[in-house]
Amino acid sequence: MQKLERRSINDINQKIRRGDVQVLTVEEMKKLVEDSDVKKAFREVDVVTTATFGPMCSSGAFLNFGHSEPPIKMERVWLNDVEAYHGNAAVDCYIGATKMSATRGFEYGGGHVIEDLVSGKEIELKAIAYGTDCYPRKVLETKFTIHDLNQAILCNPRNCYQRYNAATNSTDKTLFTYMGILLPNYGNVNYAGCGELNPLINDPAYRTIGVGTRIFLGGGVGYVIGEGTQHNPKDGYGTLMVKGDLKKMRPEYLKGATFHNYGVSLYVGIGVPIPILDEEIAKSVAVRDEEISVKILDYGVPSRNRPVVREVNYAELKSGKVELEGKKVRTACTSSLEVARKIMVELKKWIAEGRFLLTEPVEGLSRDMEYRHMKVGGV
Amino acid sequence: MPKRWMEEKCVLCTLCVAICPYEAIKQKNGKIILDYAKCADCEECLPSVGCPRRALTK
Repeated sequence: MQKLERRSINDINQKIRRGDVQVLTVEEMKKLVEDSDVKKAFREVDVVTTATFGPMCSSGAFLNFGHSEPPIKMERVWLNDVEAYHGNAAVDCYIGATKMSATRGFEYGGGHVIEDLVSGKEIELKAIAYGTDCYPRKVLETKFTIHDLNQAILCNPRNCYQRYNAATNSTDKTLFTYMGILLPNYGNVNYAGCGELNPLINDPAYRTIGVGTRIFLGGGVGYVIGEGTQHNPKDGYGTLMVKGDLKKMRPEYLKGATFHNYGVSLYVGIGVPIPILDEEIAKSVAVRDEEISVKILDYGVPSRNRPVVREVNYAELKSGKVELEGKKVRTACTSSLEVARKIMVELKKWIAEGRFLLTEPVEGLSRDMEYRHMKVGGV
Repeated sequence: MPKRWMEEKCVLCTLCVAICPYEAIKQKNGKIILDYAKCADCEECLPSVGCPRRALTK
């Protein structure tokens, strides 16, 4: 028998088409490696599924409404009283996840509009314009559903952090942040991301995840279209930019969120298949929570350089308690491990049933891009 | 007053579990379990404060 040293994505796709692909969730793969070894796991497994589900503020959707009669070149646009960005052609707009309602404030925002859209609910569209010879209309008020649109494209500039810092609060006041509520005097620690389930943490050299990688996005199919904004590979904080057809997604995996006294966001579900091309990749997907370090930052210091209170790992955070300043402090996750697991299982099923083929990246993600801070100069 | 968990809204993020000062909220097998004997009606977990999905209500 010939020794298997490497398999290609094409080899794996042939097996998917034949119906004999060996696919595991990344949790099952980690256990297999622990119970046997990397060599055996590589030989036996073709592809593993990874996933995350959490609030991802840098998300939104491009919408195209088609032309009204008489036509309008929208200048300002509101969807259910949430202002969308219009700086493109006449009836294109971008609804951002964190934009808050003009009338309902924290209770409703762009993330909720996207959830309502994907749920098939009717959305109120208001627009104003200055009127031109070719687009004479100045005011528009109507209702639409996602089915009326020409395109609805979820396009998220930054999702799927490789890992993320945790947050606590040293002050004597409760803080309201994008990491949730932080109780006074180190009263709690909130963390984000799914640790060993996260896609990029399982492919830290970005060998298989790159531009063009087909993924599970919001319950439908999407693609990685590049590294995300603030991608910081040198420090192990890689990110992804992704897009997909919102019309084919499901509300189960796109949910609006409100962080009290902070703002609104969108929970996004992402699943990424990792082809086990060689033993090196089989080894990288075996990474455990204990090996993934997380800095707990003090959000009580209102600076971009927040002090590190302690360095822990995802296993400690997931245990429910960590020790801070001599006391046991409860931890909570802004992401959902339960939903991430559901996504891994669903993507595994798609692959096993031949409904989802893997793609070869057409370009790799940057491995040396530097993260820069903003320079604020004098006026 | 007892609180109600609305499963269809919940994303099982566990923020409510840690925000409860009385440890009256647990997550188990994909469900949020409310321990009414421990609950002191402080309302820290209620929609206006602790839950990003408004999944806990009176």
